[in-house]
Amino acid sequence: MERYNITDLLRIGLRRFFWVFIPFTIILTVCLVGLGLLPARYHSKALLIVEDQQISPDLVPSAIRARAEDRLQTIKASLRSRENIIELSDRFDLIDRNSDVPFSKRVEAVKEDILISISRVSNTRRSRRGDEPTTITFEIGFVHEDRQTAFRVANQLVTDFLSQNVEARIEVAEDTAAFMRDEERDLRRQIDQVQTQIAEVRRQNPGMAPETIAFNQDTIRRLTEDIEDFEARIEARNQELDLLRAQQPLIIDASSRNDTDRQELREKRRQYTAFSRRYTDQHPDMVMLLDELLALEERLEPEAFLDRASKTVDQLSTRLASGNLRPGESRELRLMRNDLEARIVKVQAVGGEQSLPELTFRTRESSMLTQIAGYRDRLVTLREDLAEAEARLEQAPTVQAQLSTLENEEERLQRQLGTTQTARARAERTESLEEQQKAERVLILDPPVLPDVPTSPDKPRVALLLTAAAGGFAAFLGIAPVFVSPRIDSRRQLSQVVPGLTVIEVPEIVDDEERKFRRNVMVGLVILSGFLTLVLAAVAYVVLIR
Amino acid sequence: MSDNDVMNSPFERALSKVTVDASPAQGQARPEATAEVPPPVQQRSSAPVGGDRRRRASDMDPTDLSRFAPSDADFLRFEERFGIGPDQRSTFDSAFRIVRTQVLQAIKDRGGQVIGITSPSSRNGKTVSSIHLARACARRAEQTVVLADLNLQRPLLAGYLDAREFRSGIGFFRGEGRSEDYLTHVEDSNLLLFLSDRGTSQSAELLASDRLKQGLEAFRSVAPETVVICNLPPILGSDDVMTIMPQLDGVVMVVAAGETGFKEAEEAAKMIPREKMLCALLNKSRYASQASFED
Repeated sequence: MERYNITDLLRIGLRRFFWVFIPFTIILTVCLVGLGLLPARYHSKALLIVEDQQISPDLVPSAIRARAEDRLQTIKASLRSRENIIELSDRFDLIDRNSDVPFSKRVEAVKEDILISISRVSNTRRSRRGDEPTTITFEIGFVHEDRQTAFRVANQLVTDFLSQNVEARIEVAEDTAAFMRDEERDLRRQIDQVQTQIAEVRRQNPGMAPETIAFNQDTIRRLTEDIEDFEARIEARNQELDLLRAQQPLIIDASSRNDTDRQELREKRRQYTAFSRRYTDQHPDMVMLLDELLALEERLEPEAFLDRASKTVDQLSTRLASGNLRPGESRELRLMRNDLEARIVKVQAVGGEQSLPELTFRTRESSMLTQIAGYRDRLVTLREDLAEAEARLEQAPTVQAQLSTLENEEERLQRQLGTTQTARARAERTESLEEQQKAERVLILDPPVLPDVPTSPDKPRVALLLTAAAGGFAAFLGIAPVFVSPRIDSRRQLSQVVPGLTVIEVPEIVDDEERKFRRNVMVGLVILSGFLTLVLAAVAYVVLIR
Repeated sequence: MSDNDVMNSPFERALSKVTVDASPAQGQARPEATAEVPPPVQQRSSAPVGGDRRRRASDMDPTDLSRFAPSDADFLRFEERFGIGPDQRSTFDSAFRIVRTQVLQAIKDRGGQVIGITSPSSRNGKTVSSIHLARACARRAEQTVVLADLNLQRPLLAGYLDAREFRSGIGFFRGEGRSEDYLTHVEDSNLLLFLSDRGTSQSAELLASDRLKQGLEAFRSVAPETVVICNLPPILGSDDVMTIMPQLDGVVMVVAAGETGFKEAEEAAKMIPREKMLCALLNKSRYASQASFED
């Protein structure tokens, strides 16, 4: 259950009325006297408006995208900077150098006196930029005890504000154009680098560029066909050679059967074999027969000649080495051996006489082998070319990827370059606009005037606040003790303490003297309150109205 | 609350005025103006009231109240002191008739006879309330009332009633005589008074003695329909009330409006056994034009 109900609170309020009212009147009177002693301050101000760009943005869009309000805020901060305030203070003697107040606080006080307010007026027809309102107005003013100073400082602030706005816009436009030029230069350099890289890749990978893929594929197809053709040719020639070699003994044999020299050679061999059973090698018939046989073999069968002549040379060498020769025989044998050796050399070099069919066979065989060898060489060359072409084709995707990346980068940079060039052109036009004062600008609607009525302190408002504060403080002083040390004041409250118990309320005994005393006290309080009210009203009249 | 604060109350001012007017020659201080109540009749209190003119009350007919020594208590002076004029008397009589009815009904329901009047702190109006309640009860023809001042630390009852012809109750607790010998009878009423004229710092020890039991037992039986109303000291700050609590059949808690704090009252209410609480009295109410009660 609540300790105090509305009735209790009303009783407390009535009982403590004078505890609240008298302190209230005293506090408020003192506060109003203090308010009356505050020095009057004058506010000189100018009204400015941000005017839109003179040339249609559709024709010449501005490169300055910063919101006007943001820019104004920046300039406002600049004007209220410590350095600027000190400069203003030196110029208009705004700071008392002999004051005991810390310098920073004096600077802060001057800063508080610079009043810059930005107002936005929305226009539903269109927006300046995005959500920015069409019209922006703002006030620049200065508050000071001396109205002349307020007027002069306000003028100076407006001048500084306008010049800073123009300088800021031109500087932004110039910076933008310079930035765009730098960007363009940088992009061109990057494009050059990329193009150099593309050329380098093409140089390092000849025939592997994407455009050579079709050529490589044709080459591979052609080489494959050539290889197959040459393989077929080699096969055909090998078959012809095999056939030729298969026919060779038959042709040579048929030819040799009709050859008398070969018949004689065979006859001489039979005789030699027959004589060798009857005679020694030194027998004159054997020697003569051997000599005839060697002569025939030298001409018709060089291999057989070489074999037989070698053996004979060995035998002669053996006989010469034995030493038991007749006089003159050694010389004869030596001549014979030398002759044979010379003939061996000759046969080894020249060969023997060949028959026409054999010679024809040899010639054809040689011709066909030469052709086959030529084909094989060509085949090797073709296969090497094919492998090379295939390698190029295999490598082509990697090269193509590298080139594609670089070409994409080049394309991106080219696009960026195009955009940058457009932006640079616009920035240069903006620069021109700003220099010709055709862009957005700030106009003075109402210049600062010499104020003739003080604007500060706002006495009615301050008085209202002081009334509220004094009322609150007096109420606290008067009523707080009741709640700090709560006391039972009614039957209901006592019932809360002893719930369920009968509570009997007995009136207070007030004798005549007490009643008289209380009446006197009440009259005194009413008179005092009335007097204080009159004093308060008089002070309020002097401070607020007169 | 300091003594000086009390001095500034209407009651104090009225009392001091009456006291000064009534007995300036005796030079008595007001009972509540000092911590120790001055003994205005000390030289007479040690002897039986009436001296050899009267017999001892204990020797007479037990049903006849006139056997007790007559009291010189002046109730008119008491009302004058406290500023109760003709227009307020009816209001007070009405208020304490309600209190009487509540208290007597409650104590009868519980089958008791001894009622204690206490408060959380001093200056709440216990003594005045005790006197009014006792008078209201005594107005019933069949009802005999013994009003005993057991606030031995600061006995004010005799001073309030301007009584001088009595044996001080302190003597009874110290073992002198019988309890009936300390009672005085208010003439033309059923009211008997047991008064003290000075305070003692050993009140708790005296109240804890068997003499209190004997005395209360004797008080209960002075007449067939007897109720004993004990004016007690404040319950907070001393153990006197807790000492005497077992002997009480009911307790009335007096709270002064605008003076007694919530915490004090709550603490006092916790110290009194719930079954012994008869009712609570909101005294000095500024916002009550007549007595009222609420269950």
